[in-house]
Amino acid sequence: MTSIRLCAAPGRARLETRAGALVPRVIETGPASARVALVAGGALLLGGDEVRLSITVGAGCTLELEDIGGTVAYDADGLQSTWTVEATVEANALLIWHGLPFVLADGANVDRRTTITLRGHGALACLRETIVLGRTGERGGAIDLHTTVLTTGGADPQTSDVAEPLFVERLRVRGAEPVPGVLGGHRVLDSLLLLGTRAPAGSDGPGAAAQLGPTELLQPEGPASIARSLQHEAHRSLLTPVWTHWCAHALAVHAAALWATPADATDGFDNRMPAPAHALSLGSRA
Amino acid sequence: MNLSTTPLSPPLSAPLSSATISMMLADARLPVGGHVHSAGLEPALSGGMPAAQVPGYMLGRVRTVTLVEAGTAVVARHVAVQGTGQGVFGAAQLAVALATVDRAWAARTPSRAVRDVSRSLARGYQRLAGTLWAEHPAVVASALGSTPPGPTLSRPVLLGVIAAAAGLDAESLVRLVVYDDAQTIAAAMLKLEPLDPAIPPGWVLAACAAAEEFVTDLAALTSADAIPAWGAPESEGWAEAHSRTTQRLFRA
Repeated sequence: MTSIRLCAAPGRARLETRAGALVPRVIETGPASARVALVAGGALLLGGDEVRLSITVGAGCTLELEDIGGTVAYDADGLQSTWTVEATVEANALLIWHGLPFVLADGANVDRRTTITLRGHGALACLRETIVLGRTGERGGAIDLHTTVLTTGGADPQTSDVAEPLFVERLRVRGAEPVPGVLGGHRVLDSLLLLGTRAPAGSDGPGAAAQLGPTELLQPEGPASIARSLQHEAHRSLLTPVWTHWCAHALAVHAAALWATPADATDGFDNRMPAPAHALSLGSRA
Repeated sequence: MNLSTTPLSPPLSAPLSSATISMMLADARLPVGGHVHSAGLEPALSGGMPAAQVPGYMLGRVRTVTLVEAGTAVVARHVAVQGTGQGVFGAAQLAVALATVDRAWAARTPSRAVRDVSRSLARGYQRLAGTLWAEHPAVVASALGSTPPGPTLSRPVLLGVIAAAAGLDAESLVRLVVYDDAQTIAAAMLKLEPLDPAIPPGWVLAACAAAEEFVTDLAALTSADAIPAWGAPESEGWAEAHSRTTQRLFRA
């Protein structure tokens, strides 16, 4: 199992990584932040493979994950493989993960589970997941997508360990059997999840969405926003402006939460402080 | 004679069969406002889904969002029966338990447009329940749970409460939810894309038949965590777009 664990420590955040089918490569670490690339340790994803990734972002920290290349689930003649991600984001911590396309070749059969637990006040995550049915000329295999986002750690100590669902979704998609209303004839499901806070009103709203084509902003009942784009071809750029905007928002909310110490709580956000290094790196990539 | 003050007549305290309750709840003439809904059909057609795909759309719902709806109703019914049958819960506790089921449904319903429509329909069921089964603890609790400023409970939670109050068994409740969704599409189809009116009922029966394999498992659900979470991203996008238009016959 691959694991990545980032914890605050005096001076510089402590980052512990363990390689599995995915190999973490540390790009940089800061006082309370890290950027880590995920590299496939071998040919992925073949029938019978079990990829597991465990992520912990400790209180107050920021972890930014980057995929190095997308993933292809190859023709496995229907033999199932699993892809399981479990992430825990602690109080006032932020997980950013810009996932690259997950391509499902004909004959692939994947059970893909993503479980995010926001544990504590101020926990945030900003994620992108792009599922592509089939390589060029293919209709695509089968995938079961499970997405579970839970929050724990409410103010009431009696219920602070109770997991409250924020977003729970399961999709079963077969490239050869399109279902109207699920994905219809689309081959690409591109999703952004902003978790722990809502996207600010504005450029990502319906007006902008109309210009982006079949893209919708969904507003779950709890503190989260979801942007979705269904496409016939993998046009990566469609949600990219929204991604940039949402990441910047998540970083700003994260920074405000960290800097709202009792000493300056009456002043609110102290914008004289320099932006953290990870904010700069994100800006340069956008 | 002032009908609004007419005391409830004895038949309500006499036993009713699940079949009778099902017929009444599935009847489009029931005054709960169902006629303004098309179970997502008008949003789908406006969004470009060809009319020829309507039977496939109906079957797609049976395997996705309808299972969420039915599962939510079953768990709400379970909570309502447990909470009232043993006298364990007070109304406030029962309201909290129903709200937990409602949040599980909301977490599985990411589209605000879809949630808004469900909660608006629920108000009609709340009024019905408050008139017919006013004394039932789950109905009392659901009224507490539907008091602003919090969100009103969703339609499937209210259906579960009514099932508990009226004595509708869980399997009948699942079949009711499935039938109602499919028949809502069929009826809306005749207004949106007129065709031989004898044809859509066949789609409805096919949808109900397709749901049979799920009925036993769904009816046995007792936990909000176990409610199915099948989504329909394309349909959710259509619902959001439809909620912003003014050129529409149906609200959703």
